[in-house]
Amino acid sequence: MSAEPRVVIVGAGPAGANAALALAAAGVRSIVIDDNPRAGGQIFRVGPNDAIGPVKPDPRGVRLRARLAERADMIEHRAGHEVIGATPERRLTVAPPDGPVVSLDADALVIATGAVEVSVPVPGWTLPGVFGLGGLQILLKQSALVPDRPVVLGGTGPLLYLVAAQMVKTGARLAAVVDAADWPSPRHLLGLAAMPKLLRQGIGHLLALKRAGVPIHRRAAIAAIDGADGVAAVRIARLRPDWSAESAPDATIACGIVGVGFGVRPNVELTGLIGCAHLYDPATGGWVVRRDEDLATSIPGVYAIGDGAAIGGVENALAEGTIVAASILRRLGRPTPAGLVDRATGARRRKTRRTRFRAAINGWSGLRDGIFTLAAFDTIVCRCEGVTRAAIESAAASGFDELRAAKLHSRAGMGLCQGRVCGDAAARIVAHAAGVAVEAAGMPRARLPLRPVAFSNVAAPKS
Amino acid sequence: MRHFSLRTLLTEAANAHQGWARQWRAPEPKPAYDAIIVGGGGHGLATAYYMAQEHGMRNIAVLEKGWIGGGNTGRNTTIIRSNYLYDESAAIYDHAVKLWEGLSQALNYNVMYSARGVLMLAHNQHDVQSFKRHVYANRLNGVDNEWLTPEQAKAFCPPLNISPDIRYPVLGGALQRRGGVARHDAVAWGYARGADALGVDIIQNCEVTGIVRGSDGAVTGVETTKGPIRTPRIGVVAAGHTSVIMAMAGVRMPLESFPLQALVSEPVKPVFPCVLMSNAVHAYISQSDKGELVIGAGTDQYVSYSQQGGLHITTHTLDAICELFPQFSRLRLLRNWGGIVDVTPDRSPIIGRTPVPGLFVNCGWGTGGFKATPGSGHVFAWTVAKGEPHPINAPFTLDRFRTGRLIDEAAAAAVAH
Ligand SMILES: Cc1cc2nc3c(=O)[nH]c(=O)nc-3n(C[C@H](O)[C@H](O)[C@H](O)COP(=O)(O)OP(=O)(O)OC[C@H]3O[C@@H](n4cnc5c(N)ncnc54)[C@H](O)[C@@H]3O)c2cc1C
Ligand SMILES: Cc1cc2nc3c(=O)[nH]c(=O)nc-3n(C[C@H](O)[C@H](O)[C@H](O)COP(=O)(O)OP(=O)(O)OC[C@H]3O[C@@H](n4cnc5c(N)ncnc54)[C@H](O)[C@@H]3O)c2cc1C
Repeated sequence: MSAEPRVVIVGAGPAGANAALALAAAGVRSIVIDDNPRAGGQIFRVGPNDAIGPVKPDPRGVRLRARLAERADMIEHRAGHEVIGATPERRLTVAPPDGPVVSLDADALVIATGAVEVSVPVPGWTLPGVFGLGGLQILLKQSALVPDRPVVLGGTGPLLYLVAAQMVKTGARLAAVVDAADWPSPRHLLGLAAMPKLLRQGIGHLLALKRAGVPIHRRAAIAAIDGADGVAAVRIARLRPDWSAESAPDATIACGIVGVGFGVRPNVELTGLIGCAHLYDPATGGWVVRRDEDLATSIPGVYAIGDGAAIGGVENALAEGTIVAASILRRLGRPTPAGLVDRATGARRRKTRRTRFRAAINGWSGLRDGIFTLAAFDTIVCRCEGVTRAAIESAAASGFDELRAAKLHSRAGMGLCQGRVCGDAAARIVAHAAGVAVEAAGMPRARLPLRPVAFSNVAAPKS
Repeated sequence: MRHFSLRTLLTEAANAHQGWARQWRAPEPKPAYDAIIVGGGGHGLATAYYMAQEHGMRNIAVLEKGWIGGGNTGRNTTIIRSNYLYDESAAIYDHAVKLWEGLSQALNYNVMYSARGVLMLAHNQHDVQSFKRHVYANRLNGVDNEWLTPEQAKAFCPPLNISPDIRYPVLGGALQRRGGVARHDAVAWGYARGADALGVDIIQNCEVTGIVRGSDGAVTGVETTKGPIRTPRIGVVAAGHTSVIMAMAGVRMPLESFPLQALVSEPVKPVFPCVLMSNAVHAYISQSDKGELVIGAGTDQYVSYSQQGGLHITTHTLDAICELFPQFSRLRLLRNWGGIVDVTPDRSPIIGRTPVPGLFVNCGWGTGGFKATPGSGHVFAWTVAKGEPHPINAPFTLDRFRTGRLIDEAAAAAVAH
């Protein structure tokens, strides 16, 4: 252990970046590791420079990056580095952009790895031209790619309307929006009003869609995607209250690009690998990290914040960055500057409003399990290994009613992405076939390395 | 038990695979059994299967704390061979290889045994002398094993780099053509299905937490997370956790438990025709039917029950792999995992009676017991059923560490996959 304690933060999104800034202000150095070329995480994602691209960079993100650059004396931002392993002793394995992996020991470790999208397999979802909503947004924000053919967006939640509005604004031809949820009820609207700015933004997105004349289908889903070697059309089915299809898909909409997103869940790969305790909470994304008041996990010295711990949105991510900085200062026995104490207290106080908002979002558009029955028996669920719904169900039905065992038997989740894409669906299918609750099927476990890494980069460097 | 055949496959395919039923029951434990096997790995399930099949013991149970095959059985690199040095070892491992050859038919379950040949590389004079000695000893025992020059090794395994100026040059190799690999999970599942059909209760999520003994010291039952179960005979087959369970009966075992690691690459087209072992540098490699390169590494140097070994061990192994196969250096590592192996001082297993009447143990397979699964189960079933060892496992006593009659297979390396 070096004389100066080493604080390592994984993730340079609003949560991780804010934690680093607060620590820097209190005189504590940190290393921030993030796999993207530039800081900002998911919401403040940008291209290689702020000038290009059809979407104007979010000013909050521009400010965040400027502040990080100002504090380069205290914050070492390792951009483009992936954390591929971690132990309960807080030893990280880090893969640089291209070079040998290195080990890094931390006295305090903050995990701020953000959210990942929930994918829902339907017939045809593996055709070229089908994206996650977030994926389409990344192409737009980071690579300045606007779809050049008609787009249909489906799924649910705020991201659906945000991406739809961004599509319209950047000149993409949006043929339809298909929302699994109904209009928010008055009760939900009341809850959403807890964050008036966000509610206003949402209404703005809706009006933009109205003005552009984009048809919005509600209580419906893209139940099948047709095409020979690329997307040609989608078929829409009406949904029951549990989000299973009411009848066979009827309406057909021609299009060339499809974006689907059913909300996000915490990216708990790293906390899972370390062995932190998790709990199942559908309201904040499913498997979430168990934390105490200080945002500490069950493993000493390991903290989890932002969407990577439990879904709470950007305001919550920023707030938790501040709170965790105060916790770490206490752990290191450093004085906490008065300003930080106040901000941390304020951040905690505003938590009730955020929770109310979250609950309303969840009540309105939270994922319902019937959606996972849209996959046909021969629909491929695990695309890396080509495993169909029938194969997973037959594994579960022949006695492999735990996710891990069903995975070994069917090989779902054992390919290149290690279950990142199909994990949610596979868990539901196993649980459903075995007649148990999703949480009883167990949390998907990640293994080292979290992302594939070249043999030669793991082998010892040659002198 | 439903008999599997081409017809069942075609029928199910036509039926969108909707008709497959559970392959074994999920029974609750009965209050008492004639015998209990602790550990639902390949060895434990094989033991139960042969006890029912060959010794008519049907009122028996296998207790598994997790799910069957979830221990080392489902974590190993599946190398199968029998070219061990001593007569005793050659006998037990070759007994197993002979059973492997007909196992899919016997169990009516495809365990995917593939005798593609196992080549062990020699990198220094010690290796050369030791492997040649193995070749001669094996021949005397009727076990196939042949010496290959570097060029012959390259002809057998074309991707191999036999350049003389690398850190660990290839000086030759010992090849056992009958050696190969099998599908690890299928071995557990095949034995489980067979045992279940004969009436054996396979009880998962049932951890043994205590061993109960009568006033005469003999076992009378076990305590489990599903309650107490009475039985006069217990067979412990728990690999890395054997010491913990034996301690419940007050027996200290000459075992050390280490994490042993393995890893796979991303899947690629068929590039690797055989199994290759390099004991000196701890690198073991073959290609799975899915196309992943399956690579075994060494054990950590210190004992632990962590199922995650040190990264430097993987580093060392991939170092060797990149040198022996430079063309694989840009392949990507996909998964890395560990299992806890139970290692004896002479690197040979312990199979037999214990000082506690009614308590039997089968352990110490260390880094290389998968290959022995059918043979180990077969002779241990005999031992538990008859209360005395089968001639093949008679030398593998617990007592040998007191008498000094060791079966020292530690010769070429501390690891013997
Ligand atoms: C696809 C998607 C799109 C979204 N779009 C919006 C939007 O437009 N507007 C909005 O309000 N909210 C959006 N959200 C929600 C928003 O991301 C969060 O509210 C907010 O960004 C959370 O901040 P965070 O700091 O917790 O995580 P993030 O901002 O996600 O930051 C986490 C960072 O950690 C990095 N990371 C993760 N794992 C590793 C690893 N192993 N090694 C190295 N780096 C790693 C990630 O790449 C990322 O840069 C989106 C979420 C997703 C998943
Ligand atoms: C990475 C790795 C690579 C290997 N490579 C090879 C190879 O290439 N070739 C080869 O021949 N061998 C290899 N081996 C060794 C081989 O895997 C083992 O020797 C063999 O599988 C042991 O089988 P088993 O059935 O005894 O053990 P396991 O499969 O481990 O079964 C023991 C079972 O006991 C259960 N158990 C433990 N405690 C309790 C309890 N208290 N109550 C109830 N149940 C309990 C465990 O959960 C486990 O399922 C390798 C091992 C590892 C870890």
